[in-house]
Amino acid sequence: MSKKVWLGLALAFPMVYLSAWSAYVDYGIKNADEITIRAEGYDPRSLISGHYLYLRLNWQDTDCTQFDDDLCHPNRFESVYKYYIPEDVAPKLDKAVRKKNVKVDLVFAYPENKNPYLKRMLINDEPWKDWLKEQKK
Amino acid sequence: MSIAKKLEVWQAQNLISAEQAKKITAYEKENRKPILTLPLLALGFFCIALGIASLVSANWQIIPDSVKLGFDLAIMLGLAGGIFFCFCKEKEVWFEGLMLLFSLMVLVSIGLIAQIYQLQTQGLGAYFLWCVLVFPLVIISRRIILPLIWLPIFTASSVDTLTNITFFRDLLEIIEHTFPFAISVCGILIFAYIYRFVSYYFRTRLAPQIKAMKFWLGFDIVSLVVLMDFGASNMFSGIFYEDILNGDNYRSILVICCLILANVGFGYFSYKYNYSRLLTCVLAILLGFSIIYMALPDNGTILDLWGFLLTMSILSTVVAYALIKNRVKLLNIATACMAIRLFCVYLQVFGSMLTTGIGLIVSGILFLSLIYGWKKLHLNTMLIVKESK
Repeated sequence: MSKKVWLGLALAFPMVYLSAWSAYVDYGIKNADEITIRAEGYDPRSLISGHYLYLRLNWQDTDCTQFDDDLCHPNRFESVYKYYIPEDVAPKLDKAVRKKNVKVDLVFAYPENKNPYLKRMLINDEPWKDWLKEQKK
Repeated sequence: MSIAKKLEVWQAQNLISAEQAKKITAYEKENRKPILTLPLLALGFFCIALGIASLVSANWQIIPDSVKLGFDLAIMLGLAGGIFFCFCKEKEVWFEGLMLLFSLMVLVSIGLIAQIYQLQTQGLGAYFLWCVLVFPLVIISRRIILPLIWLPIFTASSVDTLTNITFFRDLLEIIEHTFPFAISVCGILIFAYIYRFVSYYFRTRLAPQIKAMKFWLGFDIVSLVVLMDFGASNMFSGIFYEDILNGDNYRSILVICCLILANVGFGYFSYKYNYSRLLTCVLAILLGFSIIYMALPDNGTILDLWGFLLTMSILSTVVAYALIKNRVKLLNIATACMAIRLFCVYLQVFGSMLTTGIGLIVSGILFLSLIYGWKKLHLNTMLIVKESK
């Protein structure tokens, strides 16, 4: 094969892989059941934090009847999750999730044989964006 | 000495004619590669990639995810087209610069996908993925910049990824508890092996990649020597020494035997294929001093002296190598480092300026008598004769 072909393949490889990967994840998220798990603020003292929230899953306050066998499966989840947020609301949300009277839930896409995908965050049972809007009123 | 000055000297000595000198100058001008353009271009592209990464981190919620992903892919396609164009038109500097930007954009894309789909990255997993994806570009690259960036990221991320395997994690733990700096010595030894094999089989085909490996190998060795010299007494105690003496720790003894054998094997390989012995000697010194450390009492002064002897041994080996290979610059640098280290040890061990002063004068006299003895015994001629063989 000529050098041009090798170069073309080398350039195409990351683009094809990344496109296929995002399509695969997108499909996995859209075609899986949803599970909502209670979470709470967690401070790992990360040096690069500020653009995401650290949230620890709280299995004690989670409704396990959502699972097919009525049993929670914490071993299929991570213990702590990072939730990416826009930088302009990061400090406010970071403070909010640590308050005692605020209820934080994480909604996961729960495919059968794969790792669950984190889909969205709810604060007091509503999407965090709506909750934030209400707070501003 | 610059080529112009050399040509002047050679002309004066009647080694070449004026016409030959002219021809050489014209050839050198024609084949001169731009030195500053690529680093500046690389810096510029690096800043652009960092800027895009920062914009991605800001996580604009107004833009729909599909638009973000589509825009990202469009940028990468555009860059790929640019790289292809530069390759066809033989614009080497732009080709390399755009390759760097494209590679960094791959990392930005990984971050963007992780952010959009809220993917949880494990340790340095994202960087490992990046290393795998841009590996073909690193091989194609004709300049040192991309391999220079890729190598340390690949080393760190692959070790981090391997630690997910229980066997590897256990192995690391065993090595870690064998002797101080065992993991670093072991890592450098493996790196040295890879470097030797790659430079043996792909010397011409992967010249910039081998150069990058050489740079990082040298950097790793220098960093480790400095760390061992000045940091050992603060980082370790006699715990490793006690473990070995208990006699039950057969695994540590096995690790030491393996490392010694690996070192001997490396020396044999270098000898057989006529590579410089410098690396073998340096590796042997590092391993030897690390093992000796276990037998030392937990005493600050003794550990300072151990560090001093380690650095001086390494520098003496470099001096000997520079002498044999007639590398004047390297010889001067190594000698200067020896002088600085010598001054430091007096401050470390004695503390007061009076004793430091006396010690330094005595050392100076010792060095002068060494030079006198060297000249008297005609050791320089012996070295030249040995080299010519």
